[in-house]
Amino acid sequence: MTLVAASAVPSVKAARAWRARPGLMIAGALAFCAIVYLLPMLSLFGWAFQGQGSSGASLAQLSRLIGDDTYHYAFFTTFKIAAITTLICALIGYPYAYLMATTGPRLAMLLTAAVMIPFWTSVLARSLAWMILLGRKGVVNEWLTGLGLLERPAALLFNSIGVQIGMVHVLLPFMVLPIWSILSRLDPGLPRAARSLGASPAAAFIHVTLPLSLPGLAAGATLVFMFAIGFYITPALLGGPNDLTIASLIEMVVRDLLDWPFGAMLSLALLGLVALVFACGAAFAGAGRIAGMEGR
Amino acid sequence: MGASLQINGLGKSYGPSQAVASVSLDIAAGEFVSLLGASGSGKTTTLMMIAGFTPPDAGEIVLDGQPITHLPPERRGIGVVFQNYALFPHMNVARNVGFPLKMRRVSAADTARRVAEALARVGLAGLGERLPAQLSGGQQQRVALARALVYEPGLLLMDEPLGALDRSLRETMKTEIRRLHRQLGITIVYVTHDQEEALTLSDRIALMDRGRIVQIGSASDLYERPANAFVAGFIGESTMIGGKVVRDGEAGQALLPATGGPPLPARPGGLREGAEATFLLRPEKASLSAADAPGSGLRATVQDIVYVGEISRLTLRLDGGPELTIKQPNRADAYQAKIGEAVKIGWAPDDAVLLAA
Ligand SMILES: Nc1ncnc2c1ncn2[C@@H]1O[C@H](COP(=O)(O)OP(=O)(O)O)[C@@H](O)[C@H]1O
Ligand SMILES: [Mg+2]
Repeated sequence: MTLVAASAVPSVKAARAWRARPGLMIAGALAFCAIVYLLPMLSLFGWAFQGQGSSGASLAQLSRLIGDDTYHYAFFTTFKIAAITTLICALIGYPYAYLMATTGPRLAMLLTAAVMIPFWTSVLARSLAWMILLGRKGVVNEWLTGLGLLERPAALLFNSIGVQIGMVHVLLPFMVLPIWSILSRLDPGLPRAARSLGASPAAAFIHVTLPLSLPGLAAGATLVFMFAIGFYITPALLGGPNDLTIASLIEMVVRDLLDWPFGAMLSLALLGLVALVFACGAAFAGAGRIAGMEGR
Repeated sequence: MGASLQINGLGKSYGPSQAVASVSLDIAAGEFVSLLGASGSGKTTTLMMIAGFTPPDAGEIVLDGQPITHLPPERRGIGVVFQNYALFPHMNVARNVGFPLKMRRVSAADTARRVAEALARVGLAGLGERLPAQLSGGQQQRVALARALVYEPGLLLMDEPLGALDRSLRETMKTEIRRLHRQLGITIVYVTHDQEEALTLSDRIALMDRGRIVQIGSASDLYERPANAFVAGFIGESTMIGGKVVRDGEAGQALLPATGGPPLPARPGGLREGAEATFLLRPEKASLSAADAPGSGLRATVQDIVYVGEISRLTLRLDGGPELTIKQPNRADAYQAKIGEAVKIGWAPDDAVLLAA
């Protein structure tokens, strides 16, 4: 008894010392975050608002962004693609998540695997795979023509169809998982109670299941929209010249034109938009749910 | 107002295990019937088949003369109170209670009036704006009741409705349920594993074991005239002793304990003399007196006395025979024995039962 107590003393002391200086542990993490996140952000601000020569701050880059239709068009395209992607993801993702949450354990496992395994594969690899599948001589076109649905191969690549297919595929898990997380935790007694009170299966869904799962849908939509706005690889690989998104624009400005200050301004604008979407989503679904930190 | 309910040969299996096996019930309009049984005895499954959530493998269900076996739940018009209340968390109390009326396309004005009436009936007038999460367990229970009653169903099903409440609240809600049953004249099928709940609430109790109804009858039927040793053991306390049936006096019967000892007089059942049987005596039916007191009785020795307040529980050993447990009221006019004392014990033969072994 005494032996045990004696040997336990030093470790307890060490633990106390750590607990007494929590700042020591937090400081390391803070320093890391400052170097990795804060410094680049600050230099981004620096570039974006840098004056000519050494004359301090300037709003020149901002007025360039506001004044030119080409840039407006890129923003519009980005939003359009993001909105359509979000809509398609919701239309596919909700029923999928519903099935996952309500079916038997075996099918649920299969459905989960089907949505998660691509999720763990690199976006680049998946976009390249779509290039092979969607090409003029690709599998999809061969099936469609082979089944007689199309007379000649359709253009599925290097246009907005290709972009939408690729992005929906990549972003679908972000829609499915938050919805599934809510639906799987929903008390099955609730739709059941609605049925006992006179609701048809459809009415029970509309009045009970759907409203209770809206926060999951909102979280999923926010995530998909946020990712879609900043998407680069998929539109760049599968899109055509008309699908110039902000991300591609930034790449062009920085790499081809070497215009770092304007690239920084575009990046900040994109960041601001993402923050705005997050704020809207958070107002509806709660920030924790979108960030994936909140269980319910 | 109440609806009659007939269930004939209802059965349900999950894989190889039979959850409910050939359950038949005939419930009159306005009757309060409890399904009583241990956990897993098939009560909920039976109730869910009546409600329409579980399709039966066999049998039929007839509500007020109409076969409803294959109707979906929303077309049965039965009220259901679930164990966890299943209130809609995103609707306030008034919208919860108004939900069944909305599904029946009742006008807004009528809905408001009937919701207010239903809430007043369960003592929740004025709480319509609250969300379920802002209510206590007892209040949630009342909302669930109001919601299941607002469309005036002829039959109300309740699955362990008091299970989640603390003891004092349970008593209040029991009184409330009895009052509603009397006032509305509604038929109630009530599921519980608590025999006291079943005994105090019901007109009749159906005792279930392993998917079957073992006995159905009034509280006193089950307590005084149990059909078999399972029922006797489930309901109330009892002493049970195995042995053979023998003749006792002119027309009486008694049980000769297998362990030896004197014959134990009992109400003559349908058993032949010489048959194997179980003798059953409720502990409050026997009376105790001094060993040398006048009158008949069996000699016994006090083994143990446990004081429990209004009564003491005594364990006695009959001379040369088995042990018996009896309850003795703690009153000055009742004989107060001591441990180790030789006493005399007697009971009216009609108070003891002989059950087929
Ligand atoms: N959905 C189900 N799947 C498999 N077995 C079930 C299901 N529902 C009930 N059972 C089984 O049926 C039996 C009766 O269950 P139940 O009706 O819930 O009993 P009770 O309500 O009396 O506790 C139990 O053995 C239970 O395990
Ligand atoms: Mg149950």
